[in-house]
Amino acid sequence: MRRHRFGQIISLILLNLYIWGFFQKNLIYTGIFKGFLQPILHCWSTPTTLFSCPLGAFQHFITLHLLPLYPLGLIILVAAFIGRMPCGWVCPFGLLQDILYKIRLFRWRLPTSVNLFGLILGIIAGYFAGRYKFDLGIFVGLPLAVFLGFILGKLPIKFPTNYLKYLFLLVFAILLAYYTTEPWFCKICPAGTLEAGIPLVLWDPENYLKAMVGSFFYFKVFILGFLLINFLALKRPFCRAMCPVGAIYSLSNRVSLFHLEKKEIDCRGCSLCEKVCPMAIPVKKIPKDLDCIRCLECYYRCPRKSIVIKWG
Amino acid sequence: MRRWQFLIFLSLGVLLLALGLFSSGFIEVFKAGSLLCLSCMGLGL
Repeated sequence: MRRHRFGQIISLILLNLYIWGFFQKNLIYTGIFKGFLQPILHCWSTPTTLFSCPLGAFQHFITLHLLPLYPLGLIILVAAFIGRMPCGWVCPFGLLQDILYKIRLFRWRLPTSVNLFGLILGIIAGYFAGRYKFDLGIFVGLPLAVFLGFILGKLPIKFPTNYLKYLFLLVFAILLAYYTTEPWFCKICPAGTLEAGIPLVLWDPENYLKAMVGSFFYFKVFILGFLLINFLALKRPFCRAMCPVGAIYSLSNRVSLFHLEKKEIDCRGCSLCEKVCPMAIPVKKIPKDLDCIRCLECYYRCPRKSIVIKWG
Repeated sequence: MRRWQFLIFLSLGVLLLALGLFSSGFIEVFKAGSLLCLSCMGLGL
């Protein structure tokens, strides 16, 4: 078993200690621990979780037109020491992606770039649909932007796929949250749908939540289903292209105290590091890439030990 | 160079976290529940 898998499993248990929540009338824990933020994406409403999601808190402050100092400070503080390591060792949604990719049903490669024109066209269509009814703007804009972006990906004016997560952070977690005073990334978040939305609606003994389910819930389930299929074929597509928490973390990868370095003189270019990398980082960029999640697989698997751990 | 960048990042993190906690950030996160709860389910839409 890969070493970071132990960290992921232990974190999964620690993050979901409120397991007896399923036997309570109030399924979601609302005690004092909810004031604490965990350092990764894990929905506030997960029936088994004790802590809060930093992205949910981030958007909550934005919707109140306040600076998200607490969630941002926590992420920057953690990232200053270990960079994007929590994505590799702690995040339960990352664990799900790693496990589903192991099934090896089929294999795709995430395109390195999407078409900027296609993205903008989708966003414009979403804007005009949103003027009629705001939710319709999301229904139309998001799938269309993704579809056109990827389908026109070979044409000129490219936008790196890995940078899409910064776009999600900017558009859904900041701009839409600020102007509509609603946490829009939470509304489309596949982790939230899987960990909280679906379990809560299914568990609902008094049919109170089931009565509130609208078209947007099914839209969320569609996004989740689309991504789950992609998880079977792609290495961590959500972490690479969509996760706003990962986007904030990745900014610290070049300055974090804990990092990896490659001794070029020892490297024979066997590309084993690229093959075992759960983020599919190209060999020439390992281990300095912004997307490196410090899972240490390349460090352990390199036959010539050309990748070394550095502190400072 | 990297050490200086780390120290700047660390100071920024500590500063933001301290400011966030002193400006009732903890209480705000604690209260955020009802809004986030409905959002995670896409309910009421």
